[in-house]
Parts: sequence; structure tokens; C-alpha cells
Amino acid sequence: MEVLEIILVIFLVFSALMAVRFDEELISIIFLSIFSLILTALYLLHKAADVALAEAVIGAGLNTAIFMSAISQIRHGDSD
Amino acid sequence: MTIRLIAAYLLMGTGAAFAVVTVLGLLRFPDVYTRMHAAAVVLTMSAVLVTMGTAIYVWDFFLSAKIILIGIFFLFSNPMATHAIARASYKREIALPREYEIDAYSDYLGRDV
Amino acid sequence: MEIPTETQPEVESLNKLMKKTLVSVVLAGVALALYRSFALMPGYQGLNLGLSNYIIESGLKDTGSLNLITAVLYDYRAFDSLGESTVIFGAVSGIVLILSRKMLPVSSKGLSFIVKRTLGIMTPFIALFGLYIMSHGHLTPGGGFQGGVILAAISIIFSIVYGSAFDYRRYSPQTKTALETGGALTFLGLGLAGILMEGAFLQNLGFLTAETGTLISAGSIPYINIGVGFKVGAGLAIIFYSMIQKTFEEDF
Repeated sequence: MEVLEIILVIFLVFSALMAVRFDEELISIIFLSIFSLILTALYLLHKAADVALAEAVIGAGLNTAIFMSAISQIRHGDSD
Repeated sequence: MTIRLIAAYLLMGTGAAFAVVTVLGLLRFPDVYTRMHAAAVVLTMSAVLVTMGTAIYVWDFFLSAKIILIGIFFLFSNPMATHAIARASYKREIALPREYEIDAYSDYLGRDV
Repeated sequence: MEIPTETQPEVESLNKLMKKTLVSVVLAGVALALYRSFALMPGYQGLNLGLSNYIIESGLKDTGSLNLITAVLYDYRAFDSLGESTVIFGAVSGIVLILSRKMLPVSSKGLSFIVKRTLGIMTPFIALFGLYIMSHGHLTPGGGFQGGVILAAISIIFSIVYGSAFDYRRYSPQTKTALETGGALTFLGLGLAGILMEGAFLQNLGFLTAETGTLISAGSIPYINIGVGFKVGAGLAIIFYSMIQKTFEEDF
């Protein structure tokens, strides 16, 4: 349990740093989605099933779609 | 009793081995479509094997039925998502089709490459 | 917009360096503030504090809900949940006011036949899962908010896979608005019924309780769950729909 938690926290910090570091927005969004998935696993390890469900549905599912549509609109505005 | 646990651990271990093969394929294959092939075929197999192992491990009728439904969901959704990604990346010309020897899909699209 | 042509690469790299330095300073400030505010918190006392102890001991007896988180959200702290859904309503109103330009959406042709057919098989099961999460909020993990977001994901799937005209025909913005308002009115109506029958706003309705563990039990909690679920799902679907207009014109 302890080892798994430490590994997950290290990957959490790594994915957050990667999401800040990249200039391309698409890669940042993918890393944010990975961040939400790792956070879901951590919530489940701490037996918080409700928060894990909310994080999986909102963070990994809905946020990605809304950010993608926002990026699509920004690029359309740039190309015009 | 123990035979059931051994079978469950065997299925889960095989699924984890398939996941390791997926990561190897993602790292070692040269371009988009072969990487996607690794991610699709092997990862579907891995997810289905792990869900089957978990369903044998818990061995309770309704719980096992729910877990097997999750496995069937993987069996539907993973190839479909891979198909959508591959088609979109072909139409966006992420990997150029002229690098391949046989390219039947551009004939279907009516595109002269 | 005139873009100056003689931008030196040194200026660009300097700008990027300044931007990264600024982002790093802001992040370090936020981390310091979070550390200070967490250092002010009392130490871990083994969950033997008064309020949580009380809720764990007598939450099931008070509300009849097996899931204590739902009991706190929709019975003990139901007024805060009402405030949360008001915040979501404000966000939806602002986004629709800023982003929606015209009524008829520019549609795309959608994805390929295989994706359309497979999602045609899978979408009823996704809807069933969302309704299950919503209606079993007082028995299993989940609740109105999570189930509502799953229902909003169905609208997002329709917009992306079948083209936004399909989403417009099946669930028009008027339908979504009616669902959202209906959910909010269900919440408020149950609160007013609490005033009339039990004597306090959003008090749990006593005559609806049944045997613990069955589907129709726990007073007014399942109905508030369903109302909040439809409200959140319709609101997030409206947000996505008003953002997706005039985009996704090419088909993949």
C-alpha cells in the first residue's frame, strides 16, 4: 500500500510539471487528463469512492472535452 | 478453492504481462499506425484478461456479472476508439501515406498521393 | 492586427523566459500559501472529533441514507448544495450569454459509420449507468452530481460523433433549459415542502421514509438527487453545446 502510494504521488507531481512545461496546449491537456486519472487512483486508495467518481467523471472526462473544444475555437480564430 | 485463486492470479498476471508488452510496443514501434496497433490489440486483451481474473477472484454472482459487463464494455469501446483515432490521423496526414508500399485507403478516399 | 516582421529571436526567447519566470513565481507563491494554510490546521486526531463522530454514529438513524456523504450533502448541508447549484446556474448563464452567437448550429458530418453504429449500441447503457448513479445515490457511492455529468457526457458524444445537428434535433436547447429549470424547481419545491410539513427549510420529509436499504427510502434524498442530476447534466450540456457552435466543421 505504502509503495504504491509513493509511486502514484511521484507520477502525480511529474504529470503536473509536464502539464505546465509544454507550450503545445494539446499535450498539456493530455497530461491534465493523466493527472486526474492518477488522482482518482489515489482517492480510491484512501477509500473516498464518491470523490474518486466525481474526479474521474469531471476531471478526466468532461474537462478534456471542454478544453479540446476551446482549443479548436482558438485555432479557428488564429487561422482566419 | 485454491484452484480458483490460482486461475484468477494466472489470468491477472497474463493481463499485466500484456500491458507490459503494450508499453514496449508504444516505445519501440516506428510510427503512428504501428503504435496504435500495439495499443489497440494488446491493451484490449490485457483489460479483458484482468477483468476476467477479477471476476473469478471475487466469485460472487452479481459482482462478477458487473465486472464481466465492464469487460464487454472494454471489448466494444477500445477498438472503436482506436479506429476513430487512426482514421482522424490518416485524414489529417499525420504520417504521410506515400511512405507505405500498399495504401488501399487513399484509393477508397479518391485521393491521389 | 499588424505583426512586426523584424522580431529578433533574442526578444522572443527573453519574452518566453520572462513568462516562465512569472509562472514559476506565481506557482511558488500559491505553494507557499497552501503550505501556510495547511500548517495552521490541527493535527490528525484519528477522526474522534465531535461533529464527524456524531454524523458517523447517528447519520443512518437521522436520515435513513446508507451513504453518509450523500446524507451530509443533501440532508445536513442541503442548503450549501442549493448554493452550489446556484453557482452552476450562474456559470451556465454567463457562458451562454458570452459564447452563443446564433441559434442554428454549424454541423459536421460526424465520425465514420463504425463509430456511429457502436455508439448507437453503447449509448443506452451509458444513460442507464448515469440514471443508476443518480437514483442510487443514498445506497452506493455516487449521487446527483456525478450521474448528471455522465448524462452530460452523452450529449457531448452526440455532438462529436453524430454532428451537432443531431444533438440539436434530439435534445434541443429548449429541452435542456426545461430540464435544468425543472431540476432546480424540484430542489426548491422539496425545500418548501420541508417548511410546510416539517417546519424547516429542506428538512427531510418524514412520510417518505421506508425500510433502510431499499430504493425508495431516506426521505427526500433520492428526489433531490434526481433533481440535482438533471440540473447539472443539462447545464453542462448547454455549456458544451454553446462552446461547440461554429467549430468541428471538418469530418474525420
